[in-house]
Amino acid sequence: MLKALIIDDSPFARRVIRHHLIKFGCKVVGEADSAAQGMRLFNELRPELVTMDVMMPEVGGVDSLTCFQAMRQNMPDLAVIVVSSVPFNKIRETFLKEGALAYVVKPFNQFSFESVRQKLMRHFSASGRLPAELVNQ
Amino acid sequence: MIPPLYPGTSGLHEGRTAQTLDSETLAQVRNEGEELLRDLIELFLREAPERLELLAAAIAKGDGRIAERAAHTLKNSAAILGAVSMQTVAATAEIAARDGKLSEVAALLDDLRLKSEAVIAALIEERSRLDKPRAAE
Repeated sequence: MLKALIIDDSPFARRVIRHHLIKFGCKVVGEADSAAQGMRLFNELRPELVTMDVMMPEVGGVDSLTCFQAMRQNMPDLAVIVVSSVPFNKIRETFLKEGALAYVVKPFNQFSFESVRQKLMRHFSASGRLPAELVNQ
Repeated sequence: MIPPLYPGTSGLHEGRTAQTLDSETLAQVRNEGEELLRDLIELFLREAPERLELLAAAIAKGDGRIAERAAHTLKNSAAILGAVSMQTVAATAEIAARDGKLSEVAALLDDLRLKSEAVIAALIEERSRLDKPRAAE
Protein backbone atom coordinates (compact mmCIF):
# COMPACT_ATOMS: atom_id res chain seq x y z
CA MET A 1 0.00 0.00 0.00
CA LEU A 2 1.43 3.34 -1.04
CA LYS A 3 2.00 5.81 1.77
CA ALA A 4 0.66 9.24 0.84
CA LEU A 5 0.96 12.70 2.38
CA ILE A 6 -1.44 15.55 1.54
CA ILE A 7 -0.21 19.14 1.83
CA ASP A 8 -3.00 21.66 1.29
CA ASP A 9 -4.30 24.51 3.42
CA SER A 10 -7.90 23.84 2.37
CA PRO A 11 -9.66 21.20 4.50
CA PHE A 12 -12.09 20.90 1.61
CA ALA A 13 -9.42 20.03 -0.91
CA ARG A 14 -7.73 17.67 1.57
CA ARG A 15 -10.97 15.78 2.08
CA VAL A 16 -11.55 15.34 -1.67
CA ILE A 17 -7.94 14.35 -2.34
CA ARG A 18 -7.97 11.88 0.56
CA HIS A 19 -11.09 10.25 -0.85
CA HIS A 20 -9.45 9.68 -4.23
CA LEU A 21 -6.10 8.53 -2.84
CA ILE A 22 -7.87 5.92 -0.70
CA LYS A 23 -9.76 4.80 -3.81
CA PHE A 24 -6.39 4.38 -5.48
CA GLY A 25 -5.36 2.05 -2.69
CA CYS A 26 -3.08 4.54 -0.93
CA LYS A 27 -2.75 4.86 2.80
CA VAL A 28 -2.94 8.54 3.73
CA VAL A 29 -0.38 8.73 6.51
CA GLY A 30 -0.55 12.46 7.09
CA GLU A 31 -2.13 15.78 6.22
CA ALA A 32 -0.48 19.18 6.47
CA ASP A 33 -1.96 22.65 6.05
CA SER A 34 1.30 24.42 5.20
CA ALA A 35 4.53 23.71 3.36
CA ALA A 36 6.47 23.93 6.62
CA GLN A 37 4.26 21.35 8.32
CA GLY A 38 4.41 19.27 5.14
CA MET A 39 8.21 19.22 5.32
CA ARG A 40 8.10 18.08 8.95
CA LEU A 41 5.63 15.29 8.18
CA PHE A 42 7.57 14.25 5.09
CA ASN A 43 10.75 13.78 7.14
CA GLU A 44 8.86 11.93 9.84
CA LEU A 45 6.58 9.70 7.73
CA ARG A 46 8.64 9.12 4.56
CA PRO A 47 5.68 8.85 2.14
CA GLU A 48 6.09 7.54 -1.41
CA LEU A 49 3.49 9.94 -2.77
CA VAL A 50 2.84 13.59 -1.91
CA THR A 51 0.09 15.87 -3.16
CA MET A 52 0.92 19.51 -2.69
CA ASP A 53 -0.98 22.76 -3.14
CA VAL A 54 0.95 25.59 -4.76
CA MET A 55 -0.82 28.54 -3.21
CA MET A 56 -0.59 28.27 0.56
CA PRO A 57 0.23 30.89 3.15
CA GLU A 58 3.98 30.89 3.76
CA VAL A 59 4.80 29.62 7.24
CA GLY A 60 8.28 29.83 8.74
CA GLY A 61 9.72 31.08 5.45
CA VAL A 62 8.94 27.79 3.66
CA ASP A 63 6.98 28.13 0.45
CA SER A 64 5.62 25.38 -1.80
CA LEU A 65 8.49 25.34 -4.29
CA THR A 66 11.13 25.23 -1.56
CA CYS A 67 9.26 22.35 0.11
CA PHE A 68 8.91 20.56 -3.22
CA GLN A 69 12.60 20.88 -4.07
CA ALA A 70 13.72 19.77 -0.62
CA MET A 71 11.53 16.68 -0.69
CA ARG A 72 12.66 15.68 -4.18
CA GLN A 73 16.30 16.21 -3.26
CA ASN A 74 15.83 14.02 -0.22
CA MET A 75 13.92 11.32 -2.13
CA PRO A 76 14.50 11.61 -5.91
CA ASP A 77 11.93 8.99 -6.88
CA LEU A 78 9.20 10.58 -4.76
CA ALA A 79 5.95 10.97 -6.72
CA VAL A 80 4.63 14.51 -6.24
CA ILE A 81 1.26 15.59 -7.56
CA VAL A 82 1.01 19.37 -7.58
CA VAL A 83 -2.52 20.60 -6.99
CA SER A 84 -3.24 24.20 -7.77
CA SER A 85 -5.92 26.73 -8.52
CA VAL A 86 -3.30 28.68 -10.47
CA PRO A 87 -3.65 27.64 -14.13
CA PHE A 88 -0.62 29.64 -15.27
CA ASN A 89 1.73 27.84 -17.64
CA LYS A 90 4.85 29.36 -16.08
CA ILE A 91 4.13 27.89 -12.65
CA ARG A 92 3.03 24.60 -14.17
CA GLU A 93 6.22 24.36 -16.22
CA THR A 94 8.37 25.24 -13.20
CA PHE A 95 7.00 22.35 -11.16
CA LEU A 96 6.98 19.87 -14.04
CA LYS A 97 10.57 20.81 -14.90
CA GLU A 98 11.51 20.24 -11.26
CA GLY A 99 10.10 16.73 -11.51
CA ALA A 100 6.44 16.89 -10.51
CA LEU A 101 4.56 13.85 -11.76
CA ALA A 102 1.40 15.83 -12.53
CA TYR A 103 -0.07 19.31 -12.18
CA VAL A 104 -3.77 19.23 -11.37
CA VAL A 105 -5.81 22.41 -11.54
CA LYS A 106 -8.62 23.06 -9.05
CA PRO A 107 -11.54 22.87 -9.04
CA PHE A 108 -11.30 19.13 -9.64
CA ASN A 109 -13.42 17.61 -12.36
CA GLN A 110 -14.25 14.04 -13.26
CA PHE A 111 -11.08 13.66 -15.29
CA SER A 112 -8.60 15.18 -12.81
CA PHE A 113 -8.03 12.08 -10.73
CA GLU A 114 -8.24 9.65 -13.64
CA SER A 115 -5.32 11.48 -15.20
CA VAL A 116 -3.45 11.28 -11.87
CA ARG A 117 -4.16 7.56 -11.60
CA GLN A 118 -2.72 6.91 -15.04
CA LYS A 119 0.43 8.87 -14.22
CA LEU A 120 0.83 7.08 -10.90
CA MET A 121 0.46 3.75 -12.68
CA ARG A 122 3.25 4.63 -15.09
CA HIS A 123 5.49 5.95 -12.30
CA PHE A 124 5.12 2.98 -9.96
CA SER A 125 5.09 0.45 -12.80
CA ALA A 126 8.50 1.70 -13.90
CA SER A 127 9.89 1.17 -10.41
CA GLY A 128 8.18 -2.24 -10.01
CA ARG A 129 6.00 -1.08 -7.12
CA LEU A 130 2.63 -0.89 -8.84
CA PRO A 131 -0.22 -1.39 -6.33
CA ALA A 132 -3.06 -3.60 -7.60
CA GLU A 133 -5.66 -1.05 -6.48
CA LEU A 134 -4.33 1.48 -8.98
CA VAL A 135 -4.88 -0.96 -11.81
CA ASN A 136 -8.25 -2.33 -10.68
CA GLN A 137 -10.28 0.87 -10.96
CA MET B 1 -10.91 7.82 -24.30
CA ILE B 2 -10.70 8.26 -20.56
CA PRO B 3 -13.67 6.66 -18.76
CA PRO B 4 -15.54 9.06 -16.47
CA LEU B 5 -14.99 8.67 -12.76
CA TYR B 6 -18.56 9.64 -12.02
CA PRO B 7 -20.87 7.66 -14.28
CA GLY B 8 -24.37 9.07 -14.52
CA THR B 9 -26.10 11.57 -12.32
CA SER B 10 -28.90 11.18 -9.87
CA GLY B 11 -30.99 13.92 -11.43
CA LEU B 12 -31.91 17.46 -10.56
CA HIS B 13 -33.36 18.05 -7.14
CA GLU B 14 -36.20 20.46 -6.81
CA GLY B 15 -36.20 23.42 -4.49
CA ARG B 16 -33.37 25.57 -3.25
CA THR B 17 -30.57 23.17 -4.11
CA ALA B 18 -31.28 23.32 -7.82
CA GLN B 19 -31.08 27.12 -7.88
CA THR B 20 -27.98 27.56 -5.74
CA LEU B 21 -25.85 24.50 -6.42
CA ASP B 22 -24.97 23.10 -9.82
CA SER B 23 -26.81 19.79 -9.95
CA GLU B 24 -24.18 18.06 -12.07
CA THR B 25 -21.30 18.98 -9.76
CA LEU B 26 -23.29 17.96 -6.71
CA ALA B 27 -24.25 14.68 -8.37
CA GLN B 28 -20.59 13.97 -9.08
CA VAL B 29 -19.77 14.36 -5.39
CA ARG B 30 -22.82 12.31 -4.41
CA ASN B 31 -21.79 9.53 -6.76
CA GLU B 32 -18.43 9.37 -5.00
CA GLY B 33 -20.26 8.36 -1.85
CA GLU B 34 -22.54 9.73 0.83
CA GLU B 35 -19.76 9.96 3.38
CA LEU B 36 -17.75 12.35 1.22
CA LEU B 37 -20.79 14.54 0.55
CA ARG B 38 -21.73 14.63 4.24
CA ASP B 39 -18.18 15.58 5.23
CA LEU B 40 -18.00 18.34 2.63
CA ILE B 41 -21.36 19.71 3.75
CA GLU B 42 -20.21 19.78 7.39
CA LEU B 43 -16.92 21.40 6.38
CA PHE B 44 -18.72 24.09 4.42
CA LEU B 45 -21.19 24.83 7.23
CA ARG B 46 -18.28 25.29 9.61
CA GLU B 47 -15.72 26.94 7.36
CA ALA B 48 -17.69 29.40 5.24
CA PRO B 49 -18.89 31.64 8.12
CA GLU B 50 -15.38 31.61 9.60
CA ARG B 51 -13.78 32.62 6.30
CA LEU B 52 -16.36 35.37 5.81
CA GLU B 53 -15.55 36.77 9.24
CA LEU B 54 -11.85 36.57 8.41
CA LEU B 55 -12.49 38.42 5.15
CA ALA B 56 -14.47 41.15 6.94
CA ALA B 57 -11.72 41.53 9.56
CA ALA B 58 -9.03 41.70 6.86
CA ILE B 59 -10.94 44.44 5.04
CA ALA B 60 -11.29 46.39 8.31
CA LYS B 61 -7.55 46.06 8.95
CA GLY B 62 -6.61 46.83 5.36
CA ASP B 63 -4.83 43.49 5.02
CA GLY B 64 -5.07 42.59 1.33
CA ARG B 65 -3.10 39.38 1.67
CA ILE B 66 -5.40 37.82 4.26
CA ALA B 67 -8.44 39.10 2.34
CA GLU B 68 -7.11 37.42 -0.80
CA ARG B 69 -6.54 34.14 1.05
CA ALA B 70 -10.02 34.17 2.62
CA ALA B 71 -11.69 34.90 -0.72
CA HIS B 72 -9.52 32.25 -2.40
CA THR B 73 -10.61 29.58 0.09
CA LEU B 74 -14.27 30.56 -0.22
CA LYS B 75 -13.97 30.37 -4.01
CA ASN B 76 -12.46 26.89 -3.95
CA SER B 77 -14.90 25.50 -1.39
CA ALA B 78 -17.83 26.86 -3.39
CA ALA B 79 -16.40 25.37 -6.58
CA ILE B 80 -16.10 21.87 -5.13
CA LEU B 81 -19.81 21.85 -4.24
CA GLY B 82 -20.94 23.54 -7.44
CA ALA B 83 -21.96 26.81 -5.79
CA VAL B 84 -21.26 28.65 -9.02
CA SER B 85 -22.75 32.01 -8.14
CA MET B 86 -20.87 32.21 -4.84
CA GLN B 87 -17.70 31.00 -6.55
CA THR B 88 -17.95 33.85 -9.09
CA VAL B 89 -18.32 36.56 -6.44
CA ALA B 90 -15.52 35.09 -4.33
CA ALA B 91 -13.26 34.94 -7.38
CA THR B 92 -13.96 38.61 -8.13
CA ALA B 93 -13.19 39.47 -4.49
CA GLU B 94 -9.97 37.47 -4.62
CA ILE B 95 -8.72 39.33 -7.70
CA ALA B 96 -9.69 42.71 -6.22
CA ALA B 97 -7.88 41.85 -2.97
CA ARG B 98 -4.79 40.73 -4.89
CA ASP B 99 -4.81 44.10 -6.68
CA GLY B 100 -5.09 45.89 -3.33
CA LYS B 101 -8.59 47.20 -4.13
CA LEU B 102 -10.08 46.54 -0.71
CA SER B 103 -12.94 49.00 -1.22
CA GLU B 104 -14.07 46.77 -4.09
CA VAL B 105 -13.79 43.71 -1.87
CA ALA B 106 -15.83 45.50 0.81
CA ALA B 107 -18.52 46.28 -1.77
CA LEU B 108 -18.76 42.56 -2.59
CA LEU B 109 -18.93 41.38 1.02
CA ASP B 110 -22.71 41.66 1.52
CA ASP B 111 -23.39 39.83 -1.73
CA LEU B 112 -20.91 37.14 -0.78
CA ARG B 113 -22.61 36.73 2.62
CA LEU B 114 -26.03 36.39 0.98
CA LYS B 115 -24.75 33.85 -1.50
CA SER B 116 -23.04 31.91 1.27
CA GLU B 117 -26.25 31.87 3.32
CA ALA B 118 -28.14 30.53 0.30
CA VAL B 119 -25.54 27.81 -0.18
CA ILE B 120 -25.71 26.89 3.51
CA ALA B 121 -29.52 26.65 3.32
CA ALA B 122 -29.29 24.47 0.20
CA LEU B 123 -26.70 22.22 1.84
CA ILE B 124 -28.83 21.80 4.95
CA GLU B 125 -31.66 20.78 2.63
CA GLU B 126 -29.34 18.34 0.88
CA ARG B 127 -28.24 16.90 4.23
CA SER B 128 -31.89 16.36 5.23
CA ARG B 129 -32.41 14.55 1.95
CA LEU B 130 -29.52 12.25 2.81
CA ASP B 131 -31.02 11.63 6.26
CA LYS B 132 -34.47 10.69 4.95
CA PRO B 133 -33.86 7.06 3.91
CA ARG B 134 -32.13 6.45 7.24
CA ALA B 135 -35.05 7.93 9.19
CA ALA B 136 -37.50 5.72 7.25
CA GLU B 137 -35.68 2.52 8.32
